[in-house]
Amino acid sequence: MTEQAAGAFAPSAPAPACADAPAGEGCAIRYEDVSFSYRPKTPFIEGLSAHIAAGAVTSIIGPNGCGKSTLVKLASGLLRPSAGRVEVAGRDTGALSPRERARMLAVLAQSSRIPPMTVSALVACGRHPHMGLGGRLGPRDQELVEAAMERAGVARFRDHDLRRLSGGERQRAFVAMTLAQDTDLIVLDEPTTYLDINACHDLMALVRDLNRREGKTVAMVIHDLDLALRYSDNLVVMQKGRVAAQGPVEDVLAAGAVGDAFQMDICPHDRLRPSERPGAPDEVERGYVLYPR
Amino acid sequence: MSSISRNIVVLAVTAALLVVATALGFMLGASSVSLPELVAWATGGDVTDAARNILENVRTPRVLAALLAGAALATSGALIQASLDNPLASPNVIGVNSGAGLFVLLAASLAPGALWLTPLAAFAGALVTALIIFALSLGTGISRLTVVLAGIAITTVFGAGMNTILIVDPDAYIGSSTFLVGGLSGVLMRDLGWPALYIVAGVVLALAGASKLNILALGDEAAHGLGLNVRGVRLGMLAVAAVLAGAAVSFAGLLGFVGLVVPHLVRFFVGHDNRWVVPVSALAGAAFVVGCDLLARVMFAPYELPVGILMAFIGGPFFIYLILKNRGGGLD
Repeated sequence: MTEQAAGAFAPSAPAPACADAPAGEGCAIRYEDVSFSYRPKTPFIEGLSAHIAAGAVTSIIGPNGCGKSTLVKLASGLLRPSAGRVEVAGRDTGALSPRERARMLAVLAQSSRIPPMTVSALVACGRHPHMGLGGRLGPRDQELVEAAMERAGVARFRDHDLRRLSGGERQRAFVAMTLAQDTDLIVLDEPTTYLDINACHDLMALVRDLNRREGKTVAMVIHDLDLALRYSDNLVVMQKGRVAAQGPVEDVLAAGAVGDAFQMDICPHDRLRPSERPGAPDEVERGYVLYPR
Repeated sequence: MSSISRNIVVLAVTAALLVVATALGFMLGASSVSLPELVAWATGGDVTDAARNILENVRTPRVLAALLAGAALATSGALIQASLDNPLASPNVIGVNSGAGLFVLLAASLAPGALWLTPLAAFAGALVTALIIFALSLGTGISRLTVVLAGIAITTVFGAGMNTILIVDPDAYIGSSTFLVGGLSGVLMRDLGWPALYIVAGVVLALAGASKLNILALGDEAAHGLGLNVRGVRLGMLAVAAVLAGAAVSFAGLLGFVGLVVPHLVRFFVGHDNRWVVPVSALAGAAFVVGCDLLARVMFAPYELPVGILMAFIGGPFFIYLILKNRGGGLD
């Protein structure tokens, strides 16, 4: 595991909440009484209300087929709600043009295929919503692409073909693309799929670091419960197309909602770990052990 | 060498090949013209009447037709492959050429002598076929290989339609014997005016849309997330591809495989950035068809093969190679 990953176990900052705020304030994404169905007369999501707090890392978790990725697609405008309203930074996603939306939220979609391009070409795609008709990168775009590659730790692979990178390196390149998009809000749809355990923690550490240092709001759909619990401030627990619970991780855990959704007993496990900073006291690192009920 | 300087070299070499192929295309044939005579003619100098006659009345329409058809079909292939995200697709493989061919023969049979109608009919036929394929690939989420199989089915049906027209109304299309395989021997300057206009416009639009095709390569969801109007770009680019293929088919008949082979060869040299693939394909396609037409003329001189036959001999095996190469590469 890298230093960055190890450093990420610092106690998390208090999670900002937006549940009770007036519409749009403190909320990066707000779902208001949203319904959606993939097939006529078979509602998949009905009357769902949820929120992703600005300035925090929020994981959307739940068993397979519960509607996690649908929530992401509703926010990105790929799907339109049949009823209700989805807001990004206080604006109705349906009323935003695709480019406007892409300047407000960057989505790292689930993708089974790897585009045939170099890392720098991929990261440059992140500037698309900001480019004119000619599709040329200006000096400012170049600067942001460079900074995004540095930030995600893929600058040294800039001329490498994506198909020749490891899964973790490739996923970091995709994160760099979303950073080049230069939005306050980043949405990741199952970013750790196919990654080995080290790469998972590296990626999560990067994500949390982006939140802590650059103030990015991060929402992610994630399968791995341990990762979700360790690296998030807030949770949205989905079950059968509805929100079973949402709020700060410890509150949701204490209410038993996560265990109920997955039919698992979740046991926190603390250990002391020497601090990375010389002279500083040991840090408490919390992990979770899961037992099927 | 950086990828940009490498691509500039490839572009320059392709342009040089095009110039050489074009010069040879003017010079060689059943009766040859020497290089000094060609240069003199091109620069307005003194040439014999015989040489002038050959160059102006025989070679100019032929070479021009080859240039236009090659550029159009190769660009069309590059656009179709990128917009359907399918390395096996090209105007003839997915049936766009045969759609254009069927409509051309229908127009020629129903409204003989209406020359202006030919490229429009070709475009309409190409577009209808492209839309059918688009709807199939979009609506049913079928695999990339199934798109190709659907194209083969469409080609078969439209081919039967074309054969029916040619049997029922043999006068429908002058030079129809080479129409079905694609050939440039009967092309006259007057056939080229409208198609040339469509082809130039099509190539310009393709160049303008090339950077959007790069975004499309990330997959629909990611492209949408980057603010691309995925469906609009895909439909628009397929329409441009249909215009290009239709325009080429209207005078050259069903020239096969140039739209498949050339973009692949080009990608081998310049990579997958469509801002390079599109222009280099246009130049390389033009050079390829001019070169093939030249070979078709001189190989068995004084007899000549329709260029489409020669290109099928090259393209068929290449297609099999692509299928084998992509085996297990996600075509399903």
